[in-house]
Amino acid sequence: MTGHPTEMEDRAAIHALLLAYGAALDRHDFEGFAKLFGADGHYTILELESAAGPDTGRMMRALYEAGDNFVQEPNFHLFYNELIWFETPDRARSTSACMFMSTPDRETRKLSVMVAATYDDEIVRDDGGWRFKRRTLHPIRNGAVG
Amino acid sequence: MTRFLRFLALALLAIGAIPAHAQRNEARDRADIHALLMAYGATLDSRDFDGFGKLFGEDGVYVGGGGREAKGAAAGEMMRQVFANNPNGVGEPNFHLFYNEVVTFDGPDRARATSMSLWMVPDQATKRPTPLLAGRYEDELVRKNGKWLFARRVVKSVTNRPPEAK
Repeated sequence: MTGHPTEMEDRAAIHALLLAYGAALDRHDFEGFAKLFGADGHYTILELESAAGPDTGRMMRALYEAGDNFVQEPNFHLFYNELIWFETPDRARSTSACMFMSTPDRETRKLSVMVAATYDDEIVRDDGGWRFKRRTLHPIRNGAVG
Repeated sequence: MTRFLRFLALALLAIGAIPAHAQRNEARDRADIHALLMAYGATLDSRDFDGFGKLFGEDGVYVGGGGREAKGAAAGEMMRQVFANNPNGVGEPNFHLFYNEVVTFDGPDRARATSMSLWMVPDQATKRPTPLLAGRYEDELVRKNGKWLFARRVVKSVTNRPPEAK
């Protein structure tokens, strides 16, 4: 923690960035999603995919189109356990967790946890705003279905 | 002389000459307390029971679910036993999900917090994360040597009672 003069508003802005990640995916705004990574920010889904800058949006569009997220609606991200700390006034780190909630049963539309994961982030101030320099998603693996 | 001292005090206030350690930064305190509440779950989830005990300092009291009570480092040992016994026979990985956090200050070095959690475990059949326990926390927090600690944390289970017979 740096205790710099704008720390409180920076925390609010970084919190908004973390939520914008899920909001963009939930409304299928993959171009808006990519802007959160700027020109060269890296997004890595461990054991699956990795991309940088505008390619992050294309990667997520492809993943959504290949899966059930366009049909098992509604679905959304639920974020929790967020921590933010500053390395300098213009660089921060964050860890947080998420459950992706979906409705696989078309009859009941009961909400189910489809994916649980944690995030490890490097975040930088860029042109006055905050963006991901590097985001790594660690899936929480529960093993094969018994 | 009194007038001079009053003038000096006002002047020091005006130029922000109060020592850094004496200045209250509520935003920083809130961030530090939030980090303490998260560390409670993170240490349990990683089975770092020594780290868990340190969150209670030397004499902080932990009253766990079911009313079991321990103080300081013994709180870590108590939780080590709870997880070793695994009374619910749950699978791994399991983790805490925290929400509804409210922090209020009683003074510069004392605060209270209430918050809630779900303890998520893999469902045996589907493997999907499923809430096994819901809990509510009532905390008394204290700053010692510049660090926020639990002076007292009480865990209260949220129970639904058995289903009613039809």
